[in-house]
Amino acid sequence: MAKTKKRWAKRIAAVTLACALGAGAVGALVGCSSDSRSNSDEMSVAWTSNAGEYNLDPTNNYMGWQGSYLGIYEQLFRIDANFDPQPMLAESAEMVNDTTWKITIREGVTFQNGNELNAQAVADCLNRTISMNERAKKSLDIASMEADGNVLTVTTNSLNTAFKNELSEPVASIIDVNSGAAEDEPVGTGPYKIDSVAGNGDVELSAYDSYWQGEPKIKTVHAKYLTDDQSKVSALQSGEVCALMNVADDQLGNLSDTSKYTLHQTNQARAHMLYFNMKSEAMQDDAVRQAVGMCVDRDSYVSSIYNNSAESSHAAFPDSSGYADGVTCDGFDAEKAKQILTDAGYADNDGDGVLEKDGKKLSLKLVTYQANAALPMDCEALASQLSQIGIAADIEVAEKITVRLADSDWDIGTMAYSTLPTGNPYTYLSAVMGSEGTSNYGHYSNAKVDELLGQLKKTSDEAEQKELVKQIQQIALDDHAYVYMVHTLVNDVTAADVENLAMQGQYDWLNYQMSYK
Amino acid sequence: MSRGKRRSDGLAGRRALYCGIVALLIVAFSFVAPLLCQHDAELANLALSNRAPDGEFLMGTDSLGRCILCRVLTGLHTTVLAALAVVALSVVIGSVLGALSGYIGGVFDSVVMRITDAFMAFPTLVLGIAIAGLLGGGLQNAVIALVVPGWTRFARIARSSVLALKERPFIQAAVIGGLSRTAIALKHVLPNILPPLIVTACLDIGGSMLSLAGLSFLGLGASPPSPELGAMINQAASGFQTAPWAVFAPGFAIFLVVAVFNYFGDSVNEALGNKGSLFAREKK
Repeated sequence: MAKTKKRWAKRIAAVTLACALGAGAVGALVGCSSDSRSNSDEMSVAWTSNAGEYNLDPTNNYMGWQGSYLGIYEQLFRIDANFDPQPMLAESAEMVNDTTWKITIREGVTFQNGNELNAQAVADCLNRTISMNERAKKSLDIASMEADGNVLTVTTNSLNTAFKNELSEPVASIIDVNSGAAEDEPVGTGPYKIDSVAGNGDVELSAYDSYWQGEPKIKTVHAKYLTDDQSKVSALQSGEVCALMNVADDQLGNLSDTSKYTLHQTNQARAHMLYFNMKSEAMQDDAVRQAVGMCVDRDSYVSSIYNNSAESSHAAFPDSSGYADGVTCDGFDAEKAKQILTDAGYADNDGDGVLEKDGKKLSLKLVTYQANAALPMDCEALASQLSQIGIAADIEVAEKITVRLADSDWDIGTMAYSTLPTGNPYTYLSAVMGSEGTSNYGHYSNAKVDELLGQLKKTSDEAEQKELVKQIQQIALDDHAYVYMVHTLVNDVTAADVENLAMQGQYDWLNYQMSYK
Repeated sequence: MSRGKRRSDGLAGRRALYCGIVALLIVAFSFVAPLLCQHDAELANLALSNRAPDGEFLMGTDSLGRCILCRVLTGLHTTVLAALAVVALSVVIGSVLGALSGYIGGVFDSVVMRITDAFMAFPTLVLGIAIAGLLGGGLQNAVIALVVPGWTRFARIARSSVLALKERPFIQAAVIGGLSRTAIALKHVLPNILPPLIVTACLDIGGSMLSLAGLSFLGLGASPPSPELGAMINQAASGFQTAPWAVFAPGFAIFLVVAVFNYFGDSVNEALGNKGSLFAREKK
């Protein structure tokens, strides 16, 4: 009897302890969540980087967008949602002649250390930029600069009609290069200044109350550096942070409760595209290229693989850019693709399900890479569809896609490519479609395209530019040299009680207006 | 020997036998499993993506609308076969090099043992990941990546067994009796070093399967779209909250198969290891 009592006492004690621990854990979570909201001038957010590394110096490779997202620094111009450069730190830029630009710097802007922003400060910063970053040196192509009060006169080495666009790239962010901390803790003109950067990438930011657009409502921002997609989502779900940047498409399902979360999507003209290797024997046949293109079921990819966080694309540029109106490509039509191959002389003579021509099996190698989670899925879906029309497809997941595509033994290559990083279409078209383009991995070459690219580089007339851009794309698409599958959207998610925390342009996120409802 | 001890040995032997039968059944099933599939394991149907388990798809579908049950069955075949290949290759390479090392001795022994030391300085999976990273993706490369560090354990065991055997009277008797070195190696040495190798090999199957699944999970194993259990978990992990079935099905398959092979290894160890060597007793 005594034994039974003892056993029951033990059980009750165990249950009580478990309940206490459970209540404590729940309390801790709830406490964390409500604490972060109760103090309304503090905010915890999660920031990230695509390549798994961070650097807040805007001139470091392609890292400039990171500090720009965090509201630390800004550019002279900002690319808006329609990919047009809008004045930011510059009030205007006027093209005096083919190689001279007169830029008027906005008055009343100060760096976060109180120093005034003037033409000399901008010239000093741009001089550092072109000395630190080879890409910026080429794209800005600056020969000399002359500062006079708030007017900066820039002389370029050659005609650059898209100079304003180049100035809007994050690499050309304006920081106070005389502050002595440009590499680790740059001082910009943005609404938030760096208090500290921890070794794990966490950044403590505080409001710069003299910010030129207005005093920031949130005074302290804890920017936690989280790179794992699932960790980011868990941090938002638990209330550890109240905003996430760059949420992966496949995580959106976990944040679909609109009563708790708000999704902001931005089209950054990031195309998921297919290159065809024109040097591969199989891909030299136009019928094969056309048939492969017709097996890309864009709408299904958008709904199933991208969780509706992408738009079907029919050209290199999204419709919102104004560079894709009227450009057409083949849509998804597997039956027609099959017919095209039959008409071109392909047949399955040995009944193994794979087409042959001149004794050779129609077998293709698709090369993709893992850094982008959606592209291998696109490849799997495409390979499956190709098998249905008699094309055997072998998928290879490469470590570095640009290195792999530089080899010759592939047929179809996948790539995620920002086609309008500065709003200037020439950069992408010349690199990818020009015969000597640096990213023309498929070795596509068309004399007419090269000629039109030459014209595009020289023209400053907007309407003419658009027409040329459309013509170039249409020729390449008619040659079946590329397939544009989707344009992915950048997903930023905030807790439902956060307001005004959404991108206004292409490279900004934290801003002076963000607050709690 | 006491009656209780004999009964315990008998129990251990029976347990090893039953576990062996179950393990063999799993291997046999993995060969016929792909034939049981009602759907094409690699055929994507985006209209059916992330469908919850129902009458048509007993384990649901993945994000590309493929039948998870069929992919698990096909993946089981891939994973089990690859794990057996890893263990078989490791046993053959390791035991041959280890036995030769112990039997020949001298410089050859020193060289082989220093090589094993070098490989054993690193954890197997870490070295495997490094090698797979160098070789690139693909199941074949994953097998190589696990065999390269995996053979050393068997080499050590084979060598130490041969060294112990070399001085045993029955081997010396065979030498005096005029048997050739090859005959001694095949008739007397090999059967006597087999038990510890068998035990280690059995215990290794489950571990190899986990390592292979781990490499595939990291994208260093089977290439898409061929189904492999670790790769399936990796692909489905991001949607765990919305489509948990896509993670549970391959996860449970790995758990089940690894548990059976580990239990089999333990029971064989119990049946053989504690007594030194059943084969050895018979041969002597």
